[in-house]
Amino acid sequence: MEIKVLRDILEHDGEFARRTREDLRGRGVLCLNLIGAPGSGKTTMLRSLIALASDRLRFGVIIGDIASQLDAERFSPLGIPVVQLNTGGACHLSARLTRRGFEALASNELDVVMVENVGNLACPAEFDLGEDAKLSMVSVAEGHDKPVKYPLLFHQAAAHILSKTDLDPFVDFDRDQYYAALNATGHRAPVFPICAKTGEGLDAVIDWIAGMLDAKRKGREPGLRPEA
Amino acid sequence: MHEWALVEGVMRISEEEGARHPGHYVVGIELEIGRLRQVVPEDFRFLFDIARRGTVLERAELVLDIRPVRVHCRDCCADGLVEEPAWMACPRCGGFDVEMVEGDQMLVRSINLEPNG
Repeated sequence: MEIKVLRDILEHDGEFARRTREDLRGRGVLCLNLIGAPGSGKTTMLRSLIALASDRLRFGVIIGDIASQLDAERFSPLGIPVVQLNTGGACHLSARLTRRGFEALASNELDVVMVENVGNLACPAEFDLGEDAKLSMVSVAEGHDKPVKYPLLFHQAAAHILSKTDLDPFVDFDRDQYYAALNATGHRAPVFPICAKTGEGLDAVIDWIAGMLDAKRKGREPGLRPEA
Repeated sequence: MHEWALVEGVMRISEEEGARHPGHYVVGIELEIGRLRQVVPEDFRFLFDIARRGTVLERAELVLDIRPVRVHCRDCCADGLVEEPAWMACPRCGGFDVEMVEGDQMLVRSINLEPNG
């Protein structure tokens, strides 16, 4: 006897994501899920960006790492609420684990929660955490072929950060090929070349985040994916 | 290795569905997973075989249907398969203004039950 089931395999974790999304909507808080390889510069960018935007936006940060509190310590000079989650071996944040982070931040008045996912271009893209949008991050040192090798993330991301542009003279990153690969995901998402050390390009990222927040608070869902 | 999270999801759904049909056991389960989901079938089967011991799926045959990425082109209105998931081009006109019809799904499609004894 065959029983039609047609249920999403990740529906259980998806239920935690749904509750988080509902909470964040009720509080008018934007949540972005930053996904990039280990060493792509996620923490460094967030620190620079949050410092630059401190007079405009109130940030909270949730950091996922397999082990250690190192990243949370790196944020302490900024004096913003930070929650470090350790996955204990898992290569990605789940919605269930990340909910603990949102609960820990709930007593703070915030505009934006940035989730820094476990460094990995593959698995974190599979898991909806309840965020409004995913951001991809690639540093020029990693090479321009990343969108071709890890299609799901680049297909889903609402914006793409290209980091460490100060290393351009030393590496063979071909921007045309990178842009062509992003174009081939079938939708248009903005690309932000940045250098977190000099701050170059970060203003454009902050403006984009502020625009997303404004859209959300005006009741226009920023959406998991940008409009094609 | 996100396959482990998927195996957990499959086990949870199977236990719930199985409990709705007392007096039966599961002889088969069919999953439908889009190619964009980057699931490694060998890894999935390996973990599935560990996880199902002593569960409702102990004797179930696993069918893993990896579905191709299928797109609809907004320019020329063609429907077709995309060979390379990173390159979401219309198979007819080559344009990138496409929407995905399937290829990112992860479903328990069906389970097959037999009466006990």
